[in-house]
Amino acid sequence: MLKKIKLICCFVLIAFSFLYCSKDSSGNFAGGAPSGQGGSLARFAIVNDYMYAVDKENLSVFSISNPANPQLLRTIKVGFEIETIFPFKDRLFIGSTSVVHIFSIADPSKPAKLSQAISPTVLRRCDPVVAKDNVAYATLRVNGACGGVQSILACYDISDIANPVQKGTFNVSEPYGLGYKEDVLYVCDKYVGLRVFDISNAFSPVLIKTMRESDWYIDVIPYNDVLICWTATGAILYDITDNRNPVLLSSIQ
Amino acid sequence: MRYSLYAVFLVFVFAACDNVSNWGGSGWQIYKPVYANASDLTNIGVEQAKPIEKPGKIYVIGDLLLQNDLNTGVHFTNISNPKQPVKLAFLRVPFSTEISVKGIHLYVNNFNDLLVFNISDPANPSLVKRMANVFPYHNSEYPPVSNTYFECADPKKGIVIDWVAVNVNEQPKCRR
Repeated sequence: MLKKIKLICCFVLIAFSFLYCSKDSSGNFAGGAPSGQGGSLARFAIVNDYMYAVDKENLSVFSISNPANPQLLRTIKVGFEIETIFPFKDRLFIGSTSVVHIFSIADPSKPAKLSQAISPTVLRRCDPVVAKDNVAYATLRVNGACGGVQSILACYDISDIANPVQKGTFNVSEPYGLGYKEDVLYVCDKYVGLRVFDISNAFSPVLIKTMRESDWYIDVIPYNDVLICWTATGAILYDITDNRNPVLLSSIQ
Repeated sequence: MRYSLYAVFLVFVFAACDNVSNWGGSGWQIYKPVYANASDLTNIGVEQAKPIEKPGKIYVIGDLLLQNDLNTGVHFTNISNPKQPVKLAFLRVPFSTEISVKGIHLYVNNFNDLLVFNISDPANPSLVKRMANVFPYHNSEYPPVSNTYFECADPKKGIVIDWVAVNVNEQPKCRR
C-alpha cells in the first residue's frame, strides 16, 4: 500500500529552503568571516563556523572555524532521497522527496533530530521555502506522471515551527526555488516564468505579474536591491528597488 | 463473504498492476547510468572566463556571483555594477554541483570529495585542501526516482554522473 501511495504521489521533487531577508541573514556574520547566500535548492548550508552538507541519505557536519581547513565532525543518517537543506533560526530543515526532517542545531556541532517529518499529510513532498516571521512559503511540485495533483505555492503558519499549518495556496505550473523581499514573493515557475506575488496578506498571495526574459527559471536569490535568477541562459539580474516591479538589469551567459 | 473475497481479489489485481507499471508496449522503461572517466576527476584548473553551458546553482557574496556549470566547474562574475557584470574566470572542477563560500574560501564538491579554494583573488582561485570521500556524489548510486528498474552501475565502467531513461527488452536486475 505504501508503494501504491508512493506511486500515486510519485516524482514530486523538492526545492527546499528558507531564504533570508537581508536582516535575518545578519546571523551569518556572527562567526567571523561572513558567508554569502545560496539559492533555495542548495545541498550545502553554512551557519557561522559550521557547514552542513546533504547527500542522498546523510547529513555531514564540518567545522569551518578555520575556513581553509574544514574538519568533518560527523555524518548522520537522515533518510532517503534527500534533496535540499536550509537553516532557519536554530533549526535545519532537510527536504527529501517524501518528507521534511527537522534538526535542532542548538549545539551546532551535533544536529539532533527533532521530528521525523513535518506532517507528511500537510507538507507532503514539499519544498519549504521562505520563512518570514511566522509564515513559511513552499512550492509543492508534481510532475506529469503524478496526474491529477496540482502543483501549488503553499502558505504555512509556523508559529509552532515543528507543526506547520497550511493556511493558503496558489495554483502554479512547475514551481522550483523562491525568495522574498519585504512583502513581495518571487517564485520560479519553470517554463511559465518568474512569478511576482504580493504577500502583504501573508496567507493569501496575490499574483502581481509574471516575468519571462528566459525560457525557464529555477531559483532566485533576493540580494538587497538585486534579484539574482538562475535561468536557462545562466543568470539574469533584476533591479528590485521597487520590489513589485522587477526591472531587467542584465543577463550573464 | 463472497463479496469480500471479490474485494480481496480486486486488491490483488490492482497490486499486481503496480508491479508491472514499468512495462510499456516497447519493453521495460528503465534508468541507465551515464559514466565518466574517473581519471578526469582531478583535472582542476583556472580558465579564462567563458560562456556557461549547463547553468547550475547560484551563490552570491559581496560583489561576487558564482554559478556552477553542471559537472564542469564554477563561473566567477563581478556584479558590483549589476547593469554591466564582468566575468572574471572559470574554475574547472569536474563533477561539481554544489558551491558555498565563507569569507575568502570557496567550498565545492568534486564527485565524492570536498575541495576548498582560496578566492581572495577571484580571477585566480587556488586549491588549498581536498577532503577525499566525505560524501557520496548524489547521482552515483541509483536513479533519481524510486519504484523503478535500472541497469546496475558497474564501477569498472567509470563513475556514474547521471541517469537517463531508456526502453529495454529485458527486465534489469536492479530495482529501487
